[in-house]
Amino acid sequence: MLITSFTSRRGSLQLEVSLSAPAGVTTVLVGESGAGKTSTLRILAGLDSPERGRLTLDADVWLDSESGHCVSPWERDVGYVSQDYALFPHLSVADNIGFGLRAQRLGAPLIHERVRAAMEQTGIAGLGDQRPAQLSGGQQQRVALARALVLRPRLLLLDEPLSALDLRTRRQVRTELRAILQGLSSVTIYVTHSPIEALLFGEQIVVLHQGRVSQRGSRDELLRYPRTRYVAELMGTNLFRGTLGSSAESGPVLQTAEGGLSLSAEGGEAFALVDPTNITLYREPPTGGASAQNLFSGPILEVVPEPPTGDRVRVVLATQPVLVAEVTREAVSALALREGERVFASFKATGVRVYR
Amino acid sequence: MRRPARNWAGLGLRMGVALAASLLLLLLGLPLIGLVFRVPPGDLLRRLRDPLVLDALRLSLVTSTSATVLILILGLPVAYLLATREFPGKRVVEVLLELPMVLPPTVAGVGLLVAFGRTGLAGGVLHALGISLPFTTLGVVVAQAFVAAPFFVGATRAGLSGVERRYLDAAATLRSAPARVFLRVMLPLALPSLLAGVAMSWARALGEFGATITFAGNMPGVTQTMPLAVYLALQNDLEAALALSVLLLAASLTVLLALRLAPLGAIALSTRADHELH
Repeated sequence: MLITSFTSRRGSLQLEVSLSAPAGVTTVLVGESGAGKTSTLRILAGLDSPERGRLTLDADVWLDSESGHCVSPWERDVGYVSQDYALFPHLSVADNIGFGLRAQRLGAPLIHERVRAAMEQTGIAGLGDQRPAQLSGGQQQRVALARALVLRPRLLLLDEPLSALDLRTRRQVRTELRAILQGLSSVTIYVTHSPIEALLFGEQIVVLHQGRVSQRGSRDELLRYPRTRYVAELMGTNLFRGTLGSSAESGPVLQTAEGGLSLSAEGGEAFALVDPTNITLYREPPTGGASAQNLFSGPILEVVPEPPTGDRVRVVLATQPVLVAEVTREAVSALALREGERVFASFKATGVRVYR
Repeated sequence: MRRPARNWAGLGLRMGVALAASLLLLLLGLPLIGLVFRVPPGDLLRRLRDPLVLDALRLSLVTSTSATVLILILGLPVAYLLATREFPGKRVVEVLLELPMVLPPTVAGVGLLVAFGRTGLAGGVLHALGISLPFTTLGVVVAQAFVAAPFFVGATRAGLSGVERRYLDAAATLRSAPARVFLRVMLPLALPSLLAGVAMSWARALGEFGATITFAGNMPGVTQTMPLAVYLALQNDLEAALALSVLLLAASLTVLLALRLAPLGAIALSTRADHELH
């Protein structure tokens, strides 16, 4: 179990992070670029020191600014895969992977055996004599992973391990990486800016926003109960926060800062979640059967295929409040949905999930 | 459609570049060609048997190589500190290290006398230690090291600074303390620069004249290195001076080629690696 809490100033960003990560599961640290993800990893690895903080792994104290105690990176039981891999260009693949073992002065036969096993585990057996520059991006990624895994670290840190790969390679490596990570007993922290990767890898997810933890929880908790606009946006859904009330003509209403929402619940402060697939788009105001419906109107801000090659399309509307709808490609062409076009969006009161 | 005016301008530019390049090549190459063609090979072999010439050649090779080793031992830690650390007075150290490059060598020689001469600032200490520098072979080494050190430190420092931070960080997370990071990562990656620095400082030491003659004098077999012998021969025997010059040229070329060709492969490899990583 890793437990840490620290504050650190990085340029204009004030980092105030406090998190815990259990062993045997992958904890994903997700956030936009500049949220402080890499800075956090570097502090966990010991490459940077925070102004104040504490970091413990199981019974070991790696950092305690109160007592001025800080364990150097090379004395921490850590594996670190950086975003650009940083493979040593002057060493062969096998020497890259064996670099950490050789520093520990293990015997040559043992090093050889563990390097071989790590290469097999990561699917790069037979590449030992190559130079990093001779490898494809996907192979380089695996070498970087093998170089960290071969040390059997108690803390494994992965900084955007897939972001340097092209789309096709990424999909393949993603599947393999998931299988490898699931078999580890270490505390694994996986940094990404991609919500898809966060959901795919994160048994536990920590959302970092502007240097602070904005929400943390299991994959399901984050998907079902986002508590901030940022997390909802990250998860690709519509979140509103307001006060539950009631009006004579439309029944229960959630009063938000931007407008009212018709719901099927009442009383107090609450969040309301609207699944983008429950929103229907129209070119003309819909007539009939509109009882207890929420109807909004506004120009289209953005039309984004989701996933990039899939057959679903996300449409962002500049309504009050802003809505994200997810429709099929057919609907986009049938309704001629383009940025700037004015459309109507509606969803049923029963389609709104309310929680506190 | 190409406009003629533009064509003319392009032609003029190309001719200008070609002219400049030819003139510079002539300026640099003609003296070399002149030396090689003025001296018959038989004459060269005969000169090599002359004990005076042989002494000067041996002394030159021994002193310049010793000076280079001295510079390597003393300069590498300094280059490492300058490349990796910030400390008070760093600018002063930097200026001090560049000074010998701009200082006229004779002035350097006078400075060395004032510092390490019998009555110099450190003369008493050296005398107590039983070391005498002026007008000794050791003095030649010190004079050469003085003028040549900046070339090594400058090139090596640039090479060490050029090793990307991400490699050092990666090594640190791979159980490697700073000393091992330096030996296994920094040094190999900076090796081409380091060897270039060695080559430049060795060549500078080999060609040293002004500081040597001022500080160490001109005693055959003791302090008379090849450049001094060439200058002396030029006073009364042009043929001898020519032969000595060709010998010095051959010695420099051999060592420079050996040092330059070794890192060439390393440079090609490291730049290709970097290129493909990004």
